[in-house]
Amino acid sequence: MTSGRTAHWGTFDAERWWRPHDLAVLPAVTMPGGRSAVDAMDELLAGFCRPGDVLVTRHPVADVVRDGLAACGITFEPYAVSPAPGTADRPDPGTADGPALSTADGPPVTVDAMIAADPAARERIAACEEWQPYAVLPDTAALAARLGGPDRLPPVSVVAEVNSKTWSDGLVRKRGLPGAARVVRSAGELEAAVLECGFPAVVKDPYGVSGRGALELTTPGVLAAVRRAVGRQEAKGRRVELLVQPVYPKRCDFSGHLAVAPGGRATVLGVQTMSNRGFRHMGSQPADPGLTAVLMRAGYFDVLAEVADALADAGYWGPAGVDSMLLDDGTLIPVLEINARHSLGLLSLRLDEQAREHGLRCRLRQLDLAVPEGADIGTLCAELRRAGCRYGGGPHPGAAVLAGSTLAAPGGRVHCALFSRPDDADRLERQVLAAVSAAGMRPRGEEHAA
Amino acid sequence: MLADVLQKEGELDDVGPDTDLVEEYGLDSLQTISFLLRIEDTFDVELDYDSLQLSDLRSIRRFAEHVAGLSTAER
Repeated sequence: MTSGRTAHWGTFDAERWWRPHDLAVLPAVTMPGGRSAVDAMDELLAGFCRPGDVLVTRHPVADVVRDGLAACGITFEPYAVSPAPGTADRPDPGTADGPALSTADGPPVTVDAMIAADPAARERIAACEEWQPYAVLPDTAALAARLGGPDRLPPVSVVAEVNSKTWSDGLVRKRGLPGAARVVRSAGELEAAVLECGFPAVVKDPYGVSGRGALELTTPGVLAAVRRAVGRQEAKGRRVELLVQPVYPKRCDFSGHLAVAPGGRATVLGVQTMSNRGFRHMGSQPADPGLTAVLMRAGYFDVLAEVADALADAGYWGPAGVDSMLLDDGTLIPVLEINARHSLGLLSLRLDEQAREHGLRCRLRQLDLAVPEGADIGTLCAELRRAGCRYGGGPHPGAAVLAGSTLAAPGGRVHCALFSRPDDADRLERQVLAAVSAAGMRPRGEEHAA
Repeated sequence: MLADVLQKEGELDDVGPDTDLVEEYGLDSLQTISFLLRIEDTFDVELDYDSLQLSDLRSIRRFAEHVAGLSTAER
């Protein structure tokens, strides 16, 4: 750990910025507000801050969120960048929420580019001894170069390469690990691979992330529809690169987290289990001792060490998360994909370290909420306090709102850290959902709202 | 089909033709695309994802009108 200050900032839809422009895309729709919800997640990086650290975010962190974080010992120096007119963060009047699904939120912009255009933000970051961007994107590298520290981050070409599912699949094949996909490079190959794999199959974009870039192909008709969509792009000269895998009957999803030092030395930080809705991340918490024992017996931690070596050999250093799966029949799929960046699982792990100091554990929970007019994050925090379940530090369990400063009608996203005694996280989660309901809000698409 | 996509088998009896699927049922981007692909399969239509408007997908009535329009255009 460094004794100096660290600057934190980040663009959460990192894969979008690594993806080559000439690749064909899977059929997709962008729902209204989807990107703004992801953009606002950068305040989650507060969870990585030590006292005195600088956190630069796209939007101001709401006072009620900062106060809540301070109560549980998370303090930092906040700074919100000044958006440039005409960007997605400051839309020109009349252009917000355009109707077309593919361009609903206007042109995207990284927070790194916004920082580069904001002298005060640059000054704050340059004054810090350490830099911890969420991910190293082309704009991050440009910012680092502008601040006089291009070598303080791994090369962006390496980062982009090792984050590709094609790269991690190559590693799986080279090591002879179970769960290798088939990489296809044309619409015809896609069809053949899925027919060979059988239904249902999953097709993945090499730069897809949770909730985007992966489709389950359930029938020949669905395959035909996807083949048509990919084939149309291929005919226009787009390059096809997709991965095809069976849909595995799984017992649980989990992720192993690593820190790879510049010299190549790696540390295994821990394992988090993930709760997903479809392909979408909904939360994470520490792996229970039973799962950890199974993973040790299966050699999972040896595989993590091999992944770390491969990342270092490729020229990467920094945090990495390895998404993995345990199947119903006990088979371990140790490497589904590698996220060579910060991640929600790593954040959850960091918060769990703090919780353990007080005999608690941490579950990170994402809530997509329908919000009535006039309600905001303050409304929710007030209800959590009224219900006696807002975390205030120490050994008393409770929930801390980590992100959600921009929450407003008709809806938005909130992340909570649930600090509870071991085995009591479900009860605390029910209390939080009751507070959500008392605030007049409703989790979208969830069956168990209190 | 929608119930299957939303993983709410047997729970969608009260969905009206104008119910907002995004606000009321939390239909997300992945579920939407899964629903659209199954529509293409079941009704033998081809959707143009580039030209689909959000307003075409907000309710069953609007989407049915959109699909009916496609079918007419193809004849």
